Amino acid sequence: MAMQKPELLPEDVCPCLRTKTMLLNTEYRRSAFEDAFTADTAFFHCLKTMAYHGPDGDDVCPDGCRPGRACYPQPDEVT
Amino acid sequence: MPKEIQIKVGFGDQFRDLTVRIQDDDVKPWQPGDRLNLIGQSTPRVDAVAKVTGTANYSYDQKPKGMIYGKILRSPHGNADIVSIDIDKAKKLPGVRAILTAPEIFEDESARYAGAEVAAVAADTEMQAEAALRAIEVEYDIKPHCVTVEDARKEGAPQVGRGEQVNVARISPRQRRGRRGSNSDMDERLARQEAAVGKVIQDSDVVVEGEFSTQVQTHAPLETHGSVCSWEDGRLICWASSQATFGFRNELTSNWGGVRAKSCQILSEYVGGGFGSKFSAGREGVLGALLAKEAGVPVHLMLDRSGEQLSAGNRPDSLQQMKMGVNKDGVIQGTRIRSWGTPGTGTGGAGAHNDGIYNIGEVDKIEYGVRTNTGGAKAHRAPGWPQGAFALEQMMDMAADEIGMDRVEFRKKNDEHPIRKVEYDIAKDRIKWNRSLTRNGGAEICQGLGIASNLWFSAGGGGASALVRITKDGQVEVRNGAQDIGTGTRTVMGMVVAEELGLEMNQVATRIGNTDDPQGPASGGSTTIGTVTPAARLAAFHAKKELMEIVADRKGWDASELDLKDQEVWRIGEGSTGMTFESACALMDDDAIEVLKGRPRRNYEGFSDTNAGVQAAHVEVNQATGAVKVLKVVAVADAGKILNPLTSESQVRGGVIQGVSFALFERRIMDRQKGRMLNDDFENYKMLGSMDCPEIDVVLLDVYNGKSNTQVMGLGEPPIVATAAAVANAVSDALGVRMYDLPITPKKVLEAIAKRDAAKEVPAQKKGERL
Repeated sequence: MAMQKPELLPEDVCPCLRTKTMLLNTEYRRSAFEDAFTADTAFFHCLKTMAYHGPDGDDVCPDGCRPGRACYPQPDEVT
Repeated sequence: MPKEIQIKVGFGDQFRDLTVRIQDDDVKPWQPGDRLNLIGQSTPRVDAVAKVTGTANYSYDQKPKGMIYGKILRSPHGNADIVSIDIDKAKKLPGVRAILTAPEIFEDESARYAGAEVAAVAADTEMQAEAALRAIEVEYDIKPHCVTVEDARKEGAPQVGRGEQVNVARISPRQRRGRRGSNSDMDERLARQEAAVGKVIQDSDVVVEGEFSTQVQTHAPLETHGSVCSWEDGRLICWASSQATFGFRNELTSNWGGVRAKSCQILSEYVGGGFGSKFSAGREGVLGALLAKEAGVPVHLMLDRSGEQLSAGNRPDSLQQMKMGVNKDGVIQGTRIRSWGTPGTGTGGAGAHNDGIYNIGEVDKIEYGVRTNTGGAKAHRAPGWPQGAFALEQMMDMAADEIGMDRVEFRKKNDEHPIRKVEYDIAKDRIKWNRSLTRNGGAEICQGLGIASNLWFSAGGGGASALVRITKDGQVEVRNGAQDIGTGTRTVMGMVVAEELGLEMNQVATRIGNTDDPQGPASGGSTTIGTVTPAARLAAFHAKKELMEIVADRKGWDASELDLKDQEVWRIGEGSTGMTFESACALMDDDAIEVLKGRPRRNYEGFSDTNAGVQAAHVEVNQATGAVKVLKVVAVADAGKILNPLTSESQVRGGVIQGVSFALFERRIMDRQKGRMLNDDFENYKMLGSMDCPEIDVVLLDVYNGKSNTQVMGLGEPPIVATAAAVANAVSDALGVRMYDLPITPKKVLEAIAKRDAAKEVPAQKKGERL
């Protein structure tokens, strides 16, 4: 079954990226989430490894989990 | 269309009128002088009896028919790659129903810390599952490891990560993707900032500096992470120990298990603590669901205490270097901060909030994450704040002492928060700040006082809904799918609905912790009550409106003149009509009124965007043994409107207890040679016990902040921010020597005393130098 991409994630961020702020129904949801990109206390994990590194072994982070990375899902893997 | 209303905001004797724009169907926030029956009254938790009598069913307690047990095999090595896993022998053992391996499930062949998941087994009994784990043969490629920040920062230290990953990386400030400028621009900006702030500090009247460290603290919830999973006709039912029922479901249905959200139900009726570590399903959650699917029967996979301590999360440690320039009038001119911390095998998330709360002048701050071969950190109750506050508040005392100003007055001088300015005086009064004590190490048993502050900033947000149902026979229930991790959500949601409908508490049933019910928030950022109660109140208000229209229609009254109070229908401004709530409900043609309302999405302008808080500690130190006893903590807190003083007080007490535990006891101990955690149990991981607990004097300020229809601000996290800092300041006050490292163990106290006494022989100690 194809992976579901959360609405909140910016278009080119990997759909496997997860962080706490995505779960909080704060009134500024999108901007709060984007602030988490640079927050010094934000943790990011990968839905495939359920760890702080991706299947390629490198860190999970909003800047790094972008198209071009070896483990970035193919379009047909995502709905 | 929003509508404009006039409200009063403020607290104590500080009120002002404010015009706010609210959602057109929203209810006006409660106002000073409103006649409220339940709101503001101390009300015991509706589930208190169930919890203390053991009848509350936690995820751990679930036993669906046919349930078997899941266990996880963990790597014993500090740093390794998994070469191969042979499960043939294990598969043939009695009772074994399913075996999964981490490389196969998680596309990950690395085991980067001792405790990393390698495989999982489901078997008929726990003993059979453990026997199967022992029969799994794993070949590891063992690598050198680093398990402390000190080791990982050394030149030539073994590589913790893989590929090009370095051990130390700057995590803040970080160039944000899509913004103008490059990383080299950032480096230049930081260099300019360092020079400019350095000059500000140098030009100040007084300079103080120090290096502070805090330890890794595990979350240690009483109920460990995990779930009981059952597949029924393609539908996954999962009793999860979670602080984010909908987040847990999102993770399971986004990539795992082959189910959509509508075919997956997460149940978290009772949760035995989370403290920030239970947002994600985690590997254990995924493995539980997949083992149950493969075994074809329900699987109980809850972590054992060792697994919990090793892998389920922790508060990162910190090493904080601070330098502050202060003028003799008490105004802080500038502060330089460098910090390091380890979040485990990654680098992000280990920041320390040591530049919040006060105005600390021009700031030059850089933070680094240090990769170590240790279990991953997670958000831990007020992430980054207790460790940051510890360093900052030591610096505040050091600076105040250096310029000869009272420590509280110095804080006031550098603090603009309107609520905290009042809270300082309350804390001073309650702790008897100006009392005479045997301090400065003047006797074997000496005492001291310390003070520290906290800050928080959440009023809840949109995205949650509540369903209120009133039946023809007068039954009322309110539903929301969020969990209650100790916040008192179940109780307070019921209070809000009962208040709006003019009922008693026992006339409203509250249903929570079920993703089949309306969307609820994760319990994070201290947002749960502030998010769900405005939705619950709005739904109750509109359900009442519908009921009043039915009554008005049947009786020929004007619905806009009717209200519910004291379990009866009232005419506004006149009093009771004599019609009971049950009689009104009996007039319905249909079986029930059901109203589903989302939380108004925008928070309104209010009194203050942040809530404050001040804590003062009174300690006793035995200079012969080094033992510290916290005698009393005064915790002055505000969190907008206090809906239930009893559950609010409970939140504050919980924060203080966890804070004292952080100050004196808790710490992860790593074996640097073997790369393993040594105290992955509750026997050797010391936490505060009942005999260690101080008197806790909680003072709650009721603030009409106007930011939502219930005016709630967050309270789960702020009370832990100041505690360790206040305790450490009190210990330093008692001994006459600064404490730079947490936890404050007897050994550290004795070492500090020895250094103090040795320093007394040095007549001209340099200003600000560490003793």
